[in-house]
Amino acid sequence: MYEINEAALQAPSNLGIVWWAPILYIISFVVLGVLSRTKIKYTYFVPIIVSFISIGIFITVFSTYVSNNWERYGCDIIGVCWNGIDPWFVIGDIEMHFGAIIDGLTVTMLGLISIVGSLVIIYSVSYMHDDPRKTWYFSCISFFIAAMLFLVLANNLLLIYVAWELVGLGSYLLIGFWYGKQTAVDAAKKAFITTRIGDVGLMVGILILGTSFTTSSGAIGTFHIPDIILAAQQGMYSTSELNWGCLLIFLGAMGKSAQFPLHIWLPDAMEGPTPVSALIHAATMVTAGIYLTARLFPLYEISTIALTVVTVIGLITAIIAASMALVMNDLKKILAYSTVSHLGLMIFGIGTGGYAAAMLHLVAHGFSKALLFLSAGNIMHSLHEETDIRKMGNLRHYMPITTICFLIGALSLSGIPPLSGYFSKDMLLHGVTHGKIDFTNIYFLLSLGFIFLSSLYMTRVFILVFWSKSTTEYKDIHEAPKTMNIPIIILTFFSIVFGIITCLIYQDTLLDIMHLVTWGFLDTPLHFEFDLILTILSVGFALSGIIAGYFLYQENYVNKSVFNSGLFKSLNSLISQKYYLDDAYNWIVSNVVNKVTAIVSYIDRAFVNDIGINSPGEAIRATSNKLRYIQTGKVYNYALFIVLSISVIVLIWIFLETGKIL
Amino acid sequence: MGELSLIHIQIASIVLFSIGIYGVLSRRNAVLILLAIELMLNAVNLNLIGVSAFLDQSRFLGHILIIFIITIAAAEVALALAIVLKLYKEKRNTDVDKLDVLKW
Repeated sequence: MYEINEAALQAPSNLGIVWWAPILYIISFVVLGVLSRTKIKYTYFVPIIVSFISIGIFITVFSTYVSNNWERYGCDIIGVCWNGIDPWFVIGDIEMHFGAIIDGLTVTMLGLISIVGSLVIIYSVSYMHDDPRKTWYFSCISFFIAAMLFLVLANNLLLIYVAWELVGLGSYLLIGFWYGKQTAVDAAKKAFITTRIGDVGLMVGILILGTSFTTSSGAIGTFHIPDIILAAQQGMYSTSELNWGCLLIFLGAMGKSAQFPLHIWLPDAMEGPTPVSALIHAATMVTAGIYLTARLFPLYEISTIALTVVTVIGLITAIIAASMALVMNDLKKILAYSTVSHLGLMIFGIGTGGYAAAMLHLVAHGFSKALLFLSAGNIMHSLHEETDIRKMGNLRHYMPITTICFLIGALSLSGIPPLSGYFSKDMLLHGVTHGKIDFTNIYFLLSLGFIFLSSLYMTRVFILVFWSKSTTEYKDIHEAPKTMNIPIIILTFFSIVFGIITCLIYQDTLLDIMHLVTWGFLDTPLHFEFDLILTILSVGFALSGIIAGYFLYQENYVNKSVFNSGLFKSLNSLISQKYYLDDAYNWIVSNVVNKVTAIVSYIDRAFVNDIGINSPGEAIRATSNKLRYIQTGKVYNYALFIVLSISVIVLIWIFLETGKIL
Repeated sequence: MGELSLIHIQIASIVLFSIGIYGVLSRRNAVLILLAIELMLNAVNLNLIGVSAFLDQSRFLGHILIIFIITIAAAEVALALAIVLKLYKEKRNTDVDKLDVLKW
């Protein structure tokens, strides 16, 4: 049975305030949802105020957390119950408590979601200014952020699952926000259905982990995350249960965090408004999978197979998505594939044991990618929704602020010191070289290749959009309004200083709070450690990517015709067609899924519908059709029936009473 | 012939009732059916008054009840005759064979 966490009772009482972050967003969702049919202007002040309060809550929780130094007490996981002792509900022996975990992971995510969410909302005010349904838009965004906040606060897997689905719903609403566009509707459906595939795995995985062990007190299972981790460490799960549980939960994370081969929805999700893309990519949606994998890392640590799968999938995603980002021509799609690629890197980092590094990269990437997307939003806003980078160029003269911010974001993602991307990436590489995993050399070489590719495509985007000569004439082009630039500048600031603050100035304090629990499996880098050779290698590869990009795309040093011949051509077409994954899925759906559903639907129609339901009905109808002729409509016939029936009843009664008739 | 007893009255009541049933089932004229029904009602009345008179001699509950029944039956007959009259005005006859609009 669940016992009240001792730590929960000792926890500072003001940590309960953390619930108000999602609750206020939910209130904002409801209020704006009600107002969305009215013509009231300035409704966006509600989510803006809520998001500021949410940042305040984050700061409160953060300072409480730091000042109490929880890990010193060996008490990293604090359960703050919503209602003290009363369970949320009870299933058999399992009591579900509606509680929060507040540890380094949660606080980190809370900060990222609050800050990026707030900036995106402020940015949206200008970006969505002319949209007639902007109240509903802000309502949806509040809902989306609230769901994500619930997800990172939840202390049990069932609550996480609920929040997980709510996040999926939020993304569906926002990606398909412009439902007049067929592509937007398709993209929303694609995102929802693709993540559903993972969600099925997540659900089964949760049930496996939650119900398949017996505690010493005889209770069967729990969904409380700390208890599950404890049970796994005490060896209460059999190997296969743990492996399957971890793998299936990772399937859910693959769907949400767009890992190969379930990454196909993320590039299409660009159909939504650009601020939504920034939100999805930086804070609310795709980080959920990374968060869950990091949260359950102690389980993956025990299940070696699952950990290997995590590592390999992450690396494949990183490389493949980076290669696709290299050939796309749509600005937002390039950024989307870049996100997929970096998410792969994070998953890969978790797989090699560097979950703290992965979380650091999550935050650093979150700031940089939100910055890049909002800059892209600026560009699209000025160029009338143009996204093809081949039609852009020379924008640096028209949009200087956007150019500088975009450059910093791109450099941060490429891993150039002293921007934050450099620190997190080096920490990840440090984890790869120092982790006790197999194939370290191969992993290391491939991640260097990833660094090269990521700086190459970032250079390509930057040159084609801002630097190279423009092929089209721009009309009335202008820098974006201040309300759009201020969030971008704030994000730029974070992109620059986040790494320095966390890794150089306050590295002991701040990385301690990211510290989950050291389980002694790997000498995981929980701190940034400067390693000269590593730095030279990673920065060298990043710089070589930038230089190669400069010569390829700016100076046209290599004749473009080289790419149109022989091996390059086939490689190019392979990548441009997204490795034929979409086609493969189409083929599977039309040839396998549709056939199977045809059979199932035939069985349903023939047996369940026709035989099971329709045939009794038909029989009764036919019988009634014959029987209705006894209704002659002549009163004396009815009277005769009544008399005869009464006679029969009386005779039977007499027979039963006396044992003989008359 | 012995003295009048309950069984005689009850036999009379049964005979009267059977005649009534026969009338209801065999007549085609609505007014005659109504008469037959009245016959059945009075058969029941007869049975009731007989039982009351022979088995409960100290009180007159049955008698009182019968008076009420007769009163109400009179009202009922008036109502039924009104219906028959209305029917006649609608259909120009009172033959129940022709009144079969209730059928399937």
